[in-house]
Amino acid sequence: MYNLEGKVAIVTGAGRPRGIGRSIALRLAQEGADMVVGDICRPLESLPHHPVGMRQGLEALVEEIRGLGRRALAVKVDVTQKGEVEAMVRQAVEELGRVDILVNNAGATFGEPPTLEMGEEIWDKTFAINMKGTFLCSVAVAREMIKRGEGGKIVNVASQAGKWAGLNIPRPVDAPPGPGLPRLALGLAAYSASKAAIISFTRYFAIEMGPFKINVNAVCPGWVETDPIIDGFTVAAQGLGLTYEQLRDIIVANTIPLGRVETPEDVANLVLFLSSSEADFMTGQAINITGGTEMH
Amino acid sequence: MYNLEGKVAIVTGAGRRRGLGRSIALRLAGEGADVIVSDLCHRPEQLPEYCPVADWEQLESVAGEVQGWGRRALAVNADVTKNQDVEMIMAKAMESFGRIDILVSNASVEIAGPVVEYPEAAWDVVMAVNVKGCFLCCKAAARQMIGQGKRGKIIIIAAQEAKTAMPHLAAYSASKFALIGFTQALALELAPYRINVNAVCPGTIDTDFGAQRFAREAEAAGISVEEAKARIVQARIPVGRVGKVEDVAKVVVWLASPESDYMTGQAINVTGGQEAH
Repeated sequence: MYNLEGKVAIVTGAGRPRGIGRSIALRLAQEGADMVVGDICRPLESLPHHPVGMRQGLEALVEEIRGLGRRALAVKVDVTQKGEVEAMVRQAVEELGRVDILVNNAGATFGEPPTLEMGEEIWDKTFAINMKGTFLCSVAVAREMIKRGEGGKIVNVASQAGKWAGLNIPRPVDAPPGPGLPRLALGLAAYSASKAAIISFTRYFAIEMGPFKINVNAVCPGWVETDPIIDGFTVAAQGLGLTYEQLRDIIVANTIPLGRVETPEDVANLVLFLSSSEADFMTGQAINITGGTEMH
Repeated sequence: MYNLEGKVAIVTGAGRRRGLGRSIALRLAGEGADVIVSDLCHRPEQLPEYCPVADWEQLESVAGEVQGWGRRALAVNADVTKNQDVEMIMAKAMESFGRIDILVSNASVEIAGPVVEYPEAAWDVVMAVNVKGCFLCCKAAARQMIGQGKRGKIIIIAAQEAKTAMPHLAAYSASKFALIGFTQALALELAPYRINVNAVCPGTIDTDFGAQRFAREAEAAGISVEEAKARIVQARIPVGRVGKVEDVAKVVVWLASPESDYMTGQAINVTGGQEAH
């Protein structure tokens, strides 16, 4: 469809089998790009049960990409560590020759307690992975792009949560009169703030990168059925005496105009567009891909 | 790229050789769609000389270019502010092609002037063409799409001034802001029918429409048009150039394709980084 032959793309946080990162990497590869896929490949020390991408997942992805006839590299990288990020970029350039596209997809949400009870560690960890990771990768890759002088594309995976404050479930058009669904306390204060930070950073960095023909944009997905989302909503559902599927179906019916949950492919379609020359005149944007739930 | 074979698209305001409408029509044709192009092929009374209008020759030539892509085409002389004209566009589309899959509501006028001196008649024209025209076209097309029972795509061409207004363009800005509200409401209404409704907000684009603005800014500042353009680019456009019509058409055609099936109610800026909202 797009022809990204000859381009090299880095996608962080690509190591989970049901993840957005994996979907993005596969789509870019299908369109002709050679891929560098990274993930942390070890549990988070203080949050050992939090889903992370592991070496197995990355290597399976690399296999799939090579099966498409593209070159692929798996990199173990903690995006919060400057040294590891710089090593990843160096490896990309040494082994694949260049970097044209960076997708900052590595991100975490920790199923936070209400803010009044939130410890510093969850706050710091959320910001470190989501915002600082985006910053470190963007800078390392941009330096390389500027050196080569042929421009590039940076796409940051933010979130609808960076724009919207709380699950305000609107009344469907044909609903009978009544109080509507309860407000869900989803424990997303740090996550939302970190995603809003990514959006703000995207706007500013785009202005700086303009003269170098590097476009910087963000995508704001809604409810994508990945493991962290399923985990978080399962907990919320239990609190309401529902199964995950029941809560999901209620929320879809009442809040998602296009009538279904989002797939990783929906996100990948938009990321691909923003990674291509079709989006040459767009930069500094934070584009919603939410099935109509987010308008701002 | 996207394979729109078998799809039928309507593009209003497509009757100028250097215009955005033409570029969109040709890009859609390039992707396989049959295209109906419409425009008002004369100058309405209240429209000042500097506001570009179409003529029948140019509109027909755009239809010819669509055919040059191996697609079917139709040119329709129509006033989008008149419901009977809009219904005529749809009727001709159905008669010739049997379906409507994509509507690009692009027809638009601009009349500049400070609010304190702005004539009522000018306000009415800007609102009629930019807002009412969009409403009438979307209403007619949506009715047809709903009846067809398949997906549909409506793309509304707003403007950067739909997000950040400009002085002396209050009527134009207000009309474009109105399109954002309309896009959102219509998107919510048509979502159950799987008809996506999105707006595109072009920034400073190299068309006759854009050129007349540079000319006015240049005159006001006592500098050349080239100098005015360079100043605008330097001061306001991060990517360092004015937009081409193709830059906007790229986004429109993505929104017309299945790639954007999960996107609705949005207003996408295509401004080279000039607009952040």
